[in-house]
Amino acid sequence: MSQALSYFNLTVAFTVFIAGVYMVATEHNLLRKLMGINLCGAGVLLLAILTGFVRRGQQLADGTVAGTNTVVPAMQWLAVAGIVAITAITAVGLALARSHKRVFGTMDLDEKRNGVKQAPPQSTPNATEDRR
Amino acid sequence: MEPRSSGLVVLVLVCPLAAAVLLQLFGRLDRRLCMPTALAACLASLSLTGVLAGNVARGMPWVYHPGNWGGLGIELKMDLLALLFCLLIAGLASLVLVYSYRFIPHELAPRETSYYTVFLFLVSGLLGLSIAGDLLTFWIFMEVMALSAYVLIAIIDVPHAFESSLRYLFMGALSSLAILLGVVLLYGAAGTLNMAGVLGVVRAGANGQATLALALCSVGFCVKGAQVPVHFWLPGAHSAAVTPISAMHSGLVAKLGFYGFARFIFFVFGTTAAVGVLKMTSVLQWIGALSILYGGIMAILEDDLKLMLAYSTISHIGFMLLGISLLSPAGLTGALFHLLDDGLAKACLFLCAGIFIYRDGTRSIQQLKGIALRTPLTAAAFTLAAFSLVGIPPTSGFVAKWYLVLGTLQARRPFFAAVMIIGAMLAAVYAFRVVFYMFFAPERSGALQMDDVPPAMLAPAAILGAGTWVLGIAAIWILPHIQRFVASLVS
Repeated sequence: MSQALSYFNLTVAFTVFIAGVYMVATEHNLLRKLMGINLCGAGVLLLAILTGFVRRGQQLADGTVAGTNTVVPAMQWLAVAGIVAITAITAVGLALARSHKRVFGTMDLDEKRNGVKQAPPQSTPNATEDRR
Repeated sequence: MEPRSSGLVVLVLVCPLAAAVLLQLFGRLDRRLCMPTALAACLASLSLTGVLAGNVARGMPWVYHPGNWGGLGIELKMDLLALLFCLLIAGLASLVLVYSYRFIPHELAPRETSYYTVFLFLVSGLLGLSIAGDLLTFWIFMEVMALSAYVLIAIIDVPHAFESSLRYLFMGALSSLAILLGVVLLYGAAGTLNMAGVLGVVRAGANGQATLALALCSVGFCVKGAQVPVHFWLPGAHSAAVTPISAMHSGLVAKLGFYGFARFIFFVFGTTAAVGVLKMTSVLQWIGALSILYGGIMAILEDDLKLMLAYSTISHIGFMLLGISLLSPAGLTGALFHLLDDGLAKACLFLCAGIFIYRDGTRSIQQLKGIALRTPLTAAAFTLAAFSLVGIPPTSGFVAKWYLVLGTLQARRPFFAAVMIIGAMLAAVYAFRVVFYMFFAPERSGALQMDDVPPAMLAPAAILGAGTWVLGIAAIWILPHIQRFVASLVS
């Protein structure tokens, strides 16, 4: 891959990654923060795919020749693992955010701090969990 | 020496993983069976690690290539660094599980099954990341561990736990993704994910992508290890969690920051790259020193026993980080030994704190006055571990700190020796303050009575407390192996 293209890839991926970090750092809403983490992950996966991209006819690490435009297996593995992990993080985060809403009455950290909204009386805990 | 291949390596981590799946499927049938199943899995891992230990100690690591996918470089590898961490993980997890048997029904009865399931996922994640021989396996198991860690903090249904767990989740997820970005960059630089393969390429010359990867991974592991500028998630998370989980977090999960640095500096980037490029090790030395002092001072100011121990964790991970970043043989030996010693001591102190919470419902240090009259054995275990925390001979804490200070002198940085000694003095202030309140505070008096806590809770704390002293004496046999391993790293 040419040097200029590699710098372009890096710039794009880092811009997306840092936008995500900025979002997590500055947003007050828990859901937006979680979206920031997803944006971060998108940056990482983008770079993974761009790094592993091979053109048709190019030789792969194990000596075979790529029959079509593709991504090397290692980066495909990394991307799949990354997607699973980010989804899992988002799921846990959403569950926690829901508990946060149940307890504090809001998902907005600013509102919680300033008490804009009156927190409703605590509903019964374990409403959905461990029903079995 | 030539590594040998064995499927036992993969069994070490499959045991808790399989038990976790079994518990999730059948655990709800009978709650009383959860703890024995989990304990059996952890003991199986411990004994398997013990079977593998002999050869590793003689300098022959075990490897296993799952599926023989040579092109991807997937590898599990049990070398001495992994062995020490695995023994600590499996041993501590077994003791904490015994402790949980009486503590968990008391604290979170309806969620017992979920607790043990996620606990086993945490253990298998920790075991997996310690024996990973390639970057992506390391990262995946780190995520398994981190996700379980977030859940285990929030599993206790109190408002404070949700806040702490969320803060931990945001910091943890960002640091994980930074490390993953580093892994991608390393693949771009080296063309392989295998740690040994990457080491061969990165060692060859300074590489822009590898430098960027080193910076990203360092930031990531600093967050994981709660070092000073990015430490703020740790005190809340460790003190909000239910006590056995605090012990696991402080004894093992936070140590990941140190373990990751040890793995990445010596097995991925190589010491020359870490020293030469970015002056990374000098930066780490200062971060470690700052953490030692900050953690120590905050621990002194704290009245909440669990918060005090959490700040002490920051301080002691600072010791390890400083020891490893000096790159001197004695400093590294001390840091590796401190990994074991602080794991035992911190777990013991947290378990004792849990007994006080269980019995009196108090976390305030002021309220512990004269408690030695009512729970003499717990107070004794706490004191044994506190001696190790401070580093008084012949405890293991003394051995570790001796080698750490020796390491600073070997590296000709006497300033950091002074920082370490001040750190140990700060530890004396915050640990012996509690011991003094427990034994010598005159406020409360009465007849001496034995502990009325369940033996299943008392025994693990006592074993850990005594373990710090036994380890200090057993250091005679353990240290030569560590020193030989370290010599192969820094030469």
